Amino acid sequence: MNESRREQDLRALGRVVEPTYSPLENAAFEAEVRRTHRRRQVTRRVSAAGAVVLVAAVVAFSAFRAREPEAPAVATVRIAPDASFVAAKGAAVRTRAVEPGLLWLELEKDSARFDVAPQGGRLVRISAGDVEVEVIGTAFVVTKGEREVSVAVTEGRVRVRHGEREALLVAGESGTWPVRMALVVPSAEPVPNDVKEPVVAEAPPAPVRAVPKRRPGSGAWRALAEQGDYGGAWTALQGEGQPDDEPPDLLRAADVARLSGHPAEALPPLRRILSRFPGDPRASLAAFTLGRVLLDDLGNPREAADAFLQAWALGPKSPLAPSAGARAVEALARAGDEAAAREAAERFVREFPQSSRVDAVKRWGKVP
Amino acid sequence: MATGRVIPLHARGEVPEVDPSNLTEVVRAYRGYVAAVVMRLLGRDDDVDDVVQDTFVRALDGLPRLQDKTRLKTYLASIAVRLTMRRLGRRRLLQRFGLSERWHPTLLSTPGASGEQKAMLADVYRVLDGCAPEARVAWTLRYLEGERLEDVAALMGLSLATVKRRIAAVDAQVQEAHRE
Repeated sequence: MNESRREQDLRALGRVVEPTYSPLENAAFEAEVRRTHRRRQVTRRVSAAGAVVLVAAVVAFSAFRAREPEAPAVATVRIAPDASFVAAKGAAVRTRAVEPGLLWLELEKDSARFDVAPQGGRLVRISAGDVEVEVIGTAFVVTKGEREVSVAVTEGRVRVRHGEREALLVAGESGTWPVRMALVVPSAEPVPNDVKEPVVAEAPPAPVRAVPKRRPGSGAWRALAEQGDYGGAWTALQGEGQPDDEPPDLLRAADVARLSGHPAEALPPLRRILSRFPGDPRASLAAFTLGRVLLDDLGNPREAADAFLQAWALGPKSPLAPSAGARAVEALARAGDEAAAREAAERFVREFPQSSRVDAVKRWGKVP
Repeated sequence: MATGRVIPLHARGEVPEVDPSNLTEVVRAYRGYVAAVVMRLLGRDDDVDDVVQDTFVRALDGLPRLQDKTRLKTYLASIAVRLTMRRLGRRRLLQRFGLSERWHPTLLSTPGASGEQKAMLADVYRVLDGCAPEARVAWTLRYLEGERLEDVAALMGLSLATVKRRIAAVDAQVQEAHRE
């Protein structure tokens, strides 16, 4: 076929494919084009406005971030279950004591984060100046400044001691303690020899930045106890007589006794709470404190186990229950009652399977 | 009834006087032309209305700024060709996954065609259906649309040599199919 003829044929073939539109169809088409065009314009403008807002937000956020001072990097100290530890470069940490039941480290300056694996009953203590942090849980940051030491707990719980004062911090809590505490020394007063029952302060007070001076006098032991001066409170208590026969005052008296170095004198007020006020919400705390004094201070694991088990029974759903259960297993094991320790350990695992203490409890109770 | 008709790009003398800023005039003058180009390129009725409408919607932004009225037709055609090639590319992708049917005569309405023309169209579009979008568009513009090679290259944004190669490759297949 001739090329030009073929082209003509194909062009004619193309003309076969030819749609036709009436004026009415064209008008409807035009209206639809205009509508679609307007819709797209609106969409474009909204998108552009959104993009501008987004860009502005990103720029503002970047500027805000740029103004924020960067937090200094905190060196981490990882303490393994066998009490060995690895300190990252920059962590000014030194060892003060390593004993079978104690690992004692000191933070000399700056900050350090401590990640502490469960120690199976071993006490881990971190000192920063005259502030001591005792590990109950797992992770916390200690910062030693020129005037104060701050402790922030990120996981678990820790006990912070400052002189004779003590505070319990749980995850999310933090506290600041002065490096040099203004000591309050009560005026010397004769201590009657016939005072047999000490009287004391309640649970550990919250950390404070300064301790104002107070004159001891009637009820002064309570004020001193609230200030963390348990030695002064103990002395004042000897001259002031017995605490009120109510759980808060009895707990306070027990704390004054044990924190001032008279653990045996803490037993009567605690036992008084358990015998007279077993239904009080603080009875579980009293039993737990009794167990700690008996086990940690007086070395009486048998009676301590009973106290911890009582604390567990009085508050099976309380936040204290896992600690009470775990320490009950520990006390039973130390008392040599393997069968009871195993039984308590199995119960603990059943009731608190997610607890960080499970491994330690299994070891104490010899549960596979 | 106004009908669409083939207006070759190079036939500038036949271009109607239309004010580009007047959409009513533009639609009346060129909707048929654009629809015919798109239908020939696609080879089927479906998708034609979508592509034509999209062509005019996109052209609406640029029409008022069009200085040379004689370029109005080329302007619309270039938009239509670009959109059609995109649609053909998508269809080819769907065909690879078996999600788009192959060409058959019922897909394209040709009420005025003779039996011989319908047979020829079937031969042509069966070949084109197996070709790459760029090649089939170039061949269609050149032969079914009757455009000059230079205009085909300009419409597609390709070099003249590339357009010739694309057209030659498809044309050989079309001629082979016609001989069979």
